[in-house]
Amino acid sequence: MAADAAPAGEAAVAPTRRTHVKVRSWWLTYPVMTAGALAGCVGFAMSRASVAGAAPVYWLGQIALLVPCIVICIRRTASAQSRLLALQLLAALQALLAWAYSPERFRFPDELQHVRSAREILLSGHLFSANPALPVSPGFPGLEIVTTAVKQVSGLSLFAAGIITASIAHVLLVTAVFAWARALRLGSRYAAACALVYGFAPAFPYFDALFTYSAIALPFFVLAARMAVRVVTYRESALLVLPPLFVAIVSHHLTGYLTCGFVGLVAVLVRRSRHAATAPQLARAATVGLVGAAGWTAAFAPHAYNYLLTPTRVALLALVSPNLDSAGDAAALGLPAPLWQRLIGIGGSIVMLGAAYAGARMLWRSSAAPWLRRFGWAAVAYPAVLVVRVLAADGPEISARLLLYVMLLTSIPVGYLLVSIWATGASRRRVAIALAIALLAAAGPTVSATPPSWERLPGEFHVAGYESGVDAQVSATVAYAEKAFFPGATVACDRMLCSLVAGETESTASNVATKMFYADNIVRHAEIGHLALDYVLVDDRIALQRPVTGLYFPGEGDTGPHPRPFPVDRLTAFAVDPLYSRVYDNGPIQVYDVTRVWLG
Amino acid sequence: MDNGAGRRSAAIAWALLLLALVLAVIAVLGADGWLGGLPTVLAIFFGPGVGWQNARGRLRFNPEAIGLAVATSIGCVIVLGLAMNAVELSLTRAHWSAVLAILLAALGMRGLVGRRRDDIPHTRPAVPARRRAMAVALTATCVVAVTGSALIAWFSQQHWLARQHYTELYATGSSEHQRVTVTNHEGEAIGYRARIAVAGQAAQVVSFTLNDGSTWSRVVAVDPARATADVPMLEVELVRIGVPGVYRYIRLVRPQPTAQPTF
Repeated sequence: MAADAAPAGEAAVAPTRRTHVKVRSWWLTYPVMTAGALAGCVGFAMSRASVAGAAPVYWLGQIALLVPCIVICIRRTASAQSRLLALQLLAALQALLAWAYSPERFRFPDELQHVRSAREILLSGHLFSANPALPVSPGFPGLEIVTTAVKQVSGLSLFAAGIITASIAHVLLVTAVFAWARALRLGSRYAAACALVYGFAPAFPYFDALFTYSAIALPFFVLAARMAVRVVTYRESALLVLPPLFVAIVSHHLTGYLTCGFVGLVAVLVRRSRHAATAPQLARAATVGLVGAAGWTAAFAPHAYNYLLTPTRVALLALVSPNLDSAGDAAALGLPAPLWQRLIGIGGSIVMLGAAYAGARMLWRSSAAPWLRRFGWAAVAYPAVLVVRVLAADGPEISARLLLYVMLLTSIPVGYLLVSIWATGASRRRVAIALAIALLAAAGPTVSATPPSWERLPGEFHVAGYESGVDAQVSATVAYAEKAFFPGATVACDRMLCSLVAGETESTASNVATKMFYADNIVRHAEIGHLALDYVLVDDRIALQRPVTGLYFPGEGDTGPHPRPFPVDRLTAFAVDPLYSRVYDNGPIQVYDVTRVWLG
Repeated sequence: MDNGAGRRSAAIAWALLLLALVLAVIAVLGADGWLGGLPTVLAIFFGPGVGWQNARGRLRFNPEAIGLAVATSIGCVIVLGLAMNAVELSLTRAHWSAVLAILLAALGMRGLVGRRRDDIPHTRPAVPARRRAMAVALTATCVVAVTGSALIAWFSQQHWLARQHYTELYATGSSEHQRVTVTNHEGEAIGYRARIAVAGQAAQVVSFTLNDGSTWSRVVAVDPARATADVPMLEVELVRIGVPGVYRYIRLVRPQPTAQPTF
């Protein structure tokens, strides 16, 4: 199957003298890519120093990072090792840039939630301790087990251990995709193209390199998929699917279930083919996995069902009653993505959609095994995710995360298309078309990926921003809270302060205290008593800026849009109320002990 | 790339045994510093996977095989963590080091004991000197660029943080004593004047100068019983010399809570 199914040009790379010369011609690939990362870091530094021209330097770095990797992956004359090495280097440099964005502490809210889980493990020495910041997290402790093991054994800080773990998982993911695509037996060039296309998932370059539980689960999702494919193509035992499946299940809720789904999908696809005998084995593996996932969730993370239900409901509701007015709060605040970025983002999605369709058709008409030809059409999941992106209220975020899974399917036809267009003896025009498709497909997600355009470069403070909402004053306040707050203290604060307090102290950040901030004195006192709040953290800057992400406070849901900054009189009320102790002041941020209100 | 049958290496087996020894030392001595870091990261992310491949005689050195070894290692560590937790073995440094040391020692021993006569000896293909020199130059270039990136990122962030100027004033303590602390992050030496008023006592005024990054603190005796609705238990007004008005202000109407009361 391998030879005749391989895209044209794949099998015919003979070690001729000409090939040897060409192989030496791409030696600049790796230095250029590292220079791209260097330029990215220089762009960050320029932005922090408020020097003009930071953005062009950053984008130049992105081009230098991506273009050589694209070329080496889909050109005909390169060895399998050099292709995979380029992909791994790309992932490693993306992880470097993710670290360089915030090199001294975790800032992204999701990371901070897992910091709390890891801290609980370090404090108690055991798994499954409660985490009020993210109740489902302790039930899926894969990331925290590895990170705390590294921290404990090496003596590194939790931040360093987390960065190392997340970065290695990021590089491992692209390696796993390459190995998965090789298991399809369409050649290493095709495998490299698939891994490259997978890397075009908007959440891959940055979000997947962060300290989140999906980052460590995703490689095992792909490795389980690889084993499922190898059961078909190499007649290996379906039992081999179970180890990576188990690791995925215990590491991340959604990934565990989707891994079972993927194995089941392979089982369905191989029915009515000459590999049909493997279908029952795969179906059994998927069933065992599903039962295991359900059992694990029920035993260790019963909150997970509700947790997963919300985004699922949002995605499904979007199809019934689309929210077309979801341009985003950043846009409403006058911080929309630049027009060129929006155009490239849309263009990239259209190109990817077209390439997936064309590739699926091309694969369908090829001499590949029937189950593999059917596999190409599974890329239909890609437009479904685009629908969610356009119609759902949280569409961009939900779709970006879903694409980390769906792009594995999309990479099959798109990789096939790229490799087929740039076939042996292809004209320069075809080569140019293949490169253009790959570049546009890469550019779209690159410009629309996280971090969002308003905080793509670090340095500027944004109220309710993600990383950009954490500056030196916020960090200093949290350092004080870590020293001064007693374990279990209940704290009310804005979103970024609460992310940090919940992640890096033993306190519980209330996510129902919004009303308390907006209320007058009498209602505020009643709310403080009702919620048994111990501390209120007030950042005066919320009275100067509107929230860039739309919400000032965690759990704020019914206050509607914010046409103006937070009312300043509601903040000054804290300073003059004689019942509150002001225990900390660093200028913009004050900490109030409010227990007098309800303890007397 | 992964079509070769692989091999079994005595050198790798010895390296695993050495890593196991390092981990055993860490388990016993709890040593920090030079002993930690790289060796332990290698032991965790590569040791179990490479050891497993070596023990099975499937050791290969290519990016894909190494990636799969890392996956095996991560999977092993996760399963070990779950197993340790299940048998009530706390996830401490000593336990982790001991468990990993045993695992690596077992894999290393299996790699040594299981060697067969037909194991293919590792032979490096001859690489022309010019290509080798080029490879070294390329690697060096990449290492320099990555190191430069990391240094630029680190120092630019430190500079960015240092440019954010502020002064912290806070109080910590009990119902009898409170420590008033001032920390200067203003980027230069600053003169301050603090007016410290304790309920039932005459206010004290203290002047002091702090260099950037320095901290001043004073412990004051307080008596919560003397605090009234109008007179807080402790009140501190911090004035920055040269800046009109009160610069920082704290006020304690009662001692800070030390634990959530239970009813």
